[in-house]
Amino acid sequence: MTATPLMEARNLSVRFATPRGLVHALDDVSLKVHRGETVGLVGESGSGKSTLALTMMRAIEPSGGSLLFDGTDVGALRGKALKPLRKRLQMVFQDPYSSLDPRMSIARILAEPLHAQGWDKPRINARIAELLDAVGLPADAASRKPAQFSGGQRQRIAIARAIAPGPEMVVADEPVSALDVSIQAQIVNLMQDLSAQTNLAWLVIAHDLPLVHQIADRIIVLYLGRVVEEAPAADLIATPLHPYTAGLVAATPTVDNAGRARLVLKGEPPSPIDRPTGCPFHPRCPVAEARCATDRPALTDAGDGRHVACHYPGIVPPPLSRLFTKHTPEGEDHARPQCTR
Amino acid sequence: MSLLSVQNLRLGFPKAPGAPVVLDGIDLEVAQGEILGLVGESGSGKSMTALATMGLLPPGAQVLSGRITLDGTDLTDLTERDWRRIRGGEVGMIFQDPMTGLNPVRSVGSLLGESIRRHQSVTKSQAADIAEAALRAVGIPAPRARLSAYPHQLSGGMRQRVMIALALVNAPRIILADEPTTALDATVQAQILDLLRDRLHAAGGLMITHDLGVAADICDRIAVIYHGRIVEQGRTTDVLRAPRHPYTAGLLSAVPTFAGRGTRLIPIPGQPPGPTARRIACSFRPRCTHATEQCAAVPELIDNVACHNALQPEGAL
Repeated sequence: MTATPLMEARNLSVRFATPRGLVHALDDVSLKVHRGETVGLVGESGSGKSTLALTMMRAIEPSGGSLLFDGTDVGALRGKALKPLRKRLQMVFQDPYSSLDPRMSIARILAEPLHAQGWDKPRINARIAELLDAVGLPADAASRKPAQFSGGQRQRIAIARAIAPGPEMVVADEPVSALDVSIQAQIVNLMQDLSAQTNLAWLVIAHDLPLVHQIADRIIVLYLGRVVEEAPAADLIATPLHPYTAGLVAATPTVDNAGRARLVLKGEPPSPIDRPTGCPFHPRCPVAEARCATDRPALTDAGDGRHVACHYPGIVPPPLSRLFTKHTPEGEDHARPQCTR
Repeated sequence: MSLLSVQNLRLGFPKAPGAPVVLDGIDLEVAQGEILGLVGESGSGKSMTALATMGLLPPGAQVLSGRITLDGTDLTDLTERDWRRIRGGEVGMIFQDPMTGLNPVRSVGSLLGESIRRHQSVTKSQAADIAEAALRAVGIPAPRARLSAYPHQLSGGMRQRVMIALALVNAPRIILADEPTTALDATVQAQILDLLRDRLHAAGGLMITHDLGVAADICDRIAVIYHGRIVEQGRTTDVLRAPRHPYTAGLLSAVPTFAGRGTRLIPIPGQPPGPTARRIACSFRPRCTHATEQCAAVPELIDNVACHNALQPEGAL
């Protein structure tokens, strides 16, 4: 895509000073979200995915890099100057029990972002009716309070609030992980419908890989504050290029892979305070070579809309080669000496 | 004979408003060397079943009828004193959150040592050796040094390994695990599932989970619980590949899988019933696309499925 991305982060860094040392929450992260596109952001705890969401929302100040919305630098905007951005970029949070004020009626919750944008009362009331309908809630919900709704209904209210001012993009941080399985699908379908109906772009942050695979056009994998791989969703799962992605896919239990052999990545993500040298993944990597401990791999173009930050991309370790046959077909192992370790 | 047997367990809060009955006739059997997964959503009664088998019912909860037996010993009417002998000894327990499941002001060695010395007559130094071996057995590096560590000094995965070591240290006959990997990251979850698969098979295991993928991964059999009743049970592969209860089938259609991209998820309409809802008809009826007039009667669990219109195996995944 050559059009101006709707949202773009360029070399974004976020560092926090803590008593135990400097936390590199985000380190040189670049990403683009295009109009109408759903981008999934996955990573484990400490990968920086929530920090990235809050930084894009301008709730956390970046330590370096720039943030562009529709081609305009929004990284330096302050206070009232952010108001036009708020109309165009909204957010949905994980827990619909804490993200809705329990004392406010649903009508007031939905009116708040519209008041902030200077809408008048008749227009707001008409919009509330529209919003309730759009997210599948009855019209009489307006006069009730959050406590009268289930978790799934509350998340519909949170989504209605986010889309109220007609944003072009919504950042959703773990939008369904607090919900029961049978309810998650309702919210996923709602999000997909909103994309289709209003060309809304989503940045969906989640730890649930099958869910992100279901909803996203493109997936970005974060590890210790860095993007390690980025690819169209189907390709990322079918043929992961980064060994961490391969490990993450293999580690994910789904109902349709019962009993399969898995490569279990050793260890746990290291602390973002005390980061490994070179490639941040090398201490856990099953195919790491000497240079991985010293040279940090840059995120490079791997063709077909894919990017990977690895010195040995596409080398899938032997226990996984059955899973990801496209990259290590049977009998080709001898041609890839790294595979035999 | 089965190792753990739950027979017609009814459990409720008789003094709470609406006198909710949260378990309404639960029957479960766990055989020696088998892992049974109890799968359900929030409020289904899965955790309450686990708590009842651990003798850890919350205040106000009361067993209304039914029996829980371990190797033929009735656990239903035990005193707290008897339970202390059984918990951590014959019954090992693993909870979801290793941060709150471990006493933060006690070192790992002291937690393990207390449990070992409660259930085995050994000296302190023997207990330390047993504790070290227990940590090594769950894959904790430098186990001797770890004995003096406190829970906050360990990562989430290591804390969960300590909890598993605590559950296993007295060679229990059965291990009850309530959402043991829910708080963990994916790669760490995979490590812990491998460990659990191995260790739970050595005795017998009852694993409570909301995650069908996790159940698919390590359970030999699955029982699906809905509104305090078992609606379907069977071998894991049978239940997941050819679900017979519409609720099980509905859950499977609602869960994203790697193979299913591009097809729309099919949510289960509506909400699960609340705790005080009466069971005058099939509890799933209001959400069920297969409901008929027969569903006005509460279905019994017959041939491993509690449904008047059980699906035929052809309607499989």
